[in-house]
Amino acid sequence: MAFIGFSGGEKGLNINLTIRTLIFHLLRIGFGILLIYSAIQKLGDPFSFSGIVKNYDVFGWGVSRLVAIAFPPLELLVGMILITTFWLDTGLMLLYGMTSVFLLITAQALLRGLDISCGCFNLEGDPIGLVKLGENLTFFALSWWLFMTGKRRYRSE
Amino acid sequence: MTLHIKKILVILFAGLILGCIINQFHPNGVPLRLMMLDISGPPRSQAWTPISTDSAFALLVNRTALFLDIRTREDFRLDHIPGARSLPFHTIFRNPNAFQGTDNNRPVIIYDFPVHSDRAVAVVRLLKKRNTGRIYFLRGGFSGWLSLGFPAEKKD
Repeated sequence: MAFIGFSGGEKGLNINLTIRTLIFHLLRIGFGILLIYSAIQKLGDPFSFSGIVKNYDVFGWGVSRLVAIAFPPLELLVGMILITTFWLDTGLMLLYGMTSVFLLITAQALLRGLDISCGCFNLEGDPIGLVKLGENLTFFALSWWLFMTGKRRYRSE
Repeated sequence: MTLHIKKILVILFAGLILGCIINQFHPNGVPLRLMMLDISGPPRSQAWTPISTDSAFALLVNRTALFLDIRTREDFRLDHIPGARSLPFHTIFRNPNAFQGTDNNRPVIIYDFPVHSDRAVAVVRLLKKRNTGRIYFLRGGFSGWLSLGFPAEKKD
């Protein structure tokens, strides 16, 4: 982490921690807002979301329906956890899990050549492609960093 | 670790309950009958029947078949098979009585846009349970129809 205007020592360490803390909180709130936005989009049309889930061709209609029903509220809850910091350690773990799932499912769709819409953060019909995969990889990496940083700060008793 | 697992389970369970409640009252909720249809696994010959694009075109020329377009109404307005009727996927699953079959048992051909459409197969299975007529889905979908140069019309 870069030092700004300090030669090192204790002051440098404090600035380092402050920048890291700032980034942690910005990312935490950013992810929270993104998840809440995504949940609202999907809660607006559960039926269309079930079609998007089915298009990934991983689950049958039954499980797709269950995912379409349960996943958006889960996103909403995790988003609220990230913003309010209530049960933050668990929220960060769930965020990491969710971004892992997004990444895996996007990668498998791309490998199989499925011409489908991502449905990752909205129902707009953004197609699966390398850009989407790169986006999900970035989110995965950032959520992993958040999780590892948060683990040290917000350990459960 | 046990505490983490308990918290995760609480959050997952809360999400599921909240989701079920929202889905129950949402006007565009996911209908239960969608879960009851089994369209995975190997096809059963009586459950769904594809018809080739060429055969479908022959039926179109002879005005023998009824074409049902299960895409959204917006997509239907852009273009569709001439003479087709719009029956969006949402509509048929929320209200299976939306289609009552044909009077003189004309064959019915269901089509969606993609080459392989689970939605078209699901609609065929649903309609076959409620109707005794001949119901098919268009192999290759509307995209295959267009790529072979068969006609399409727009709705004003």
